[in-house]
Amino acid sequence: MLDDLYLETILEEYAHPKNKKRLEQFDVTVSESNSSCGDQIEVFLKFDPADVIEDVSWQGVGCAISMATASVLSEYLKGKTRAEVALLTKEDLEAMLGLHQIAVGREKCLLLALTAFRKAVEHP
Amino acid sequence: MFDAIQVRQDFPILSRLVHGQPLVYLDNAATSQKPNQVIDAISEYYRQHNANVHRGVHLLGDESTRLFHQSRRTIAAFFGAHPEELIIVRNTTEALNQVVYSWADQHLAEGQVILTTELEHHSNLVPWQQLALRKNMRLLHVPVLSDGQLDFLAFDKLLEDNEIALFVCSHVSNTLGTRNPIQQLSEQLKRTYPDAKVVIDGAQAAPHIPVDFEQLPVDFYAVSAHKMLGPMGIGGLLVKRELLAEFSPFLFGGGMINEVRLHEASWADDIEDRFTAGTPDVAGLVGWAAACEYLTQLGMKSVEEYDQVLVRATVEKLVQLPEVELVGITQDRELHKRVGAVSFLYKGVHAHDVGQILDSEGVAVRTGHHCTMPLHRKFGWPATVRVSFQVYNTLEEVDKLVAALDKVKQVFRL
Repeated sequence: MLDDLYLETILEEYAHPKNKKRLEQFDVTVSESNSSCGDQIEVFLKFDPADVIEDVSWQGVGCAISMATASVLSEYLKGKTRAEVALLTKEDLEAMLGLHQIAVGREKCLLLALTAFRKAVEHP
Repeated sequence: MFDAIQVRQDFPILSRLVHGQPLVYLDNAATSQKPNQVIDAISEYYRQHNANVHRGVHLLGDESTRLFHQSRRTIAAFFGAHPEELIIVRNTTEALNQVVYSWADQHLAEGQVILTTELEHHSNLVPWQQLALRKNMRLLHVPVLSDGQLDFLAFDKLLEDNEIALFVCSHVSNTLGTRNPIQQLSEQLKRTYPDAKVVIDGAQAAPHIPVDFEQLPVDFYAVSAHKMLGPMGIGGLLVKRELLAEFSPFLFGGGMINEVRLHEASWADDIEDRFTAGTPDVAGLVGWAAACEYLTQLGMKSVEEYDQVLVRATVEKLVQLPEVELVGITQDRELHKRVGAVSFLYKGVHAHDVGQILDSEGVAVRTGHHCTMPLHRKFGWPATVRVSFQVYNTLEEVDKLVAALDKVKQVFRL
């Protein structure tokens, strides 16, 4: 059970998160929190003239699952369009992290970063 | 003192396995487990006596009504209150909201001051925020110090500088386990402002320490059954007798009326009826009474002493772990002021992950902000791990907790 959750990839991303900073120049930023467990995240997006995501960053505090997901997702989003981000699902995140199926109690952790990024791309 | 190993025999859930391991249930501040005596009382009620109360001239109706009143008397007596002083609600949250709608709304006015504290559970903060907003009142907070205790000098100053109409405080903090000196604080308040009223959130005190409502200089005291071995969905608001006359019902309907006409109604003279609109949770009340009897049999003085044993052992053990940072009272000479709960941060690992790893070892704890976001924000804690006790926990379980914490280190390779 535990080995299925605290995978090598997740622990590695948690220990060495990618894009965990504030972008110096960004077009949109969104804050999101998971009030039941105290996870917080702030995401930053910069778009190129064709409205494609040019740069991504995030910062926050949270559990290994929410932080690792934010890290993996931030890498994935570079070069994607708003529409592509809007279509991402929980299953996509599970696949990115190599999780078979997230436990019900940890779904919010998994979805925190995606929720923030979705709101960010909905921003005009 | 009672034997916790014996006590455990009464709790069927404690013999089940969790992830193949024996259950070590340390999430009692969220809700306690229930003994056979409570489960059986509820089951027996539905199997043998179920009927609506105060209706129908038939035997089951009489039995149900009798059980309802008998249970009320048992519960009220447990808290040192008169039966009519006990208003039946669903839980502590509803009890506190009832004070707002049944008393504060009518008796407090614009510009007056409500004094609360920084360590309240959201259920004893948000209703007062809403009241203050609605009535344009001022809401002030007694600060919490880093040792987990209220700042009593600040309390003095707040009393000196503001005419307090209402003081709202928890008896025991659900996150820190701090036992607030409500007796002294209430006496001091009432010496300064004799008309001021006091509301106490007793959710975390009732399961662990004797409460004598008549002796306490407080006006309202809120409790939940489910944290004190009783069922979920039932709780009580204790209201001092002399205030009941100026206490208004806020749930209207059947059972609470005297006479109803098409455009008007009058309220039942019987106080118990007046605040029990609709069919009450009789089985829940019967179960709660059984829980009170169970605790009385153990003796609340012994329950309090045993809780201290568990609290002290846990603090002493956790303090030795370099990766654990305890919050709240840890000093030996102050530990008697800590009741029911020990919370901590784990360096480098979020509380949620700690909780998940403990669960894999069968140890159930609570992680997060425990409905005390302002307290967590004040001290910059993103989330904490809370270990909380009941009469069936053992020192051996505290050792299992410590062993399980070692697994956190292994998983995160610290």
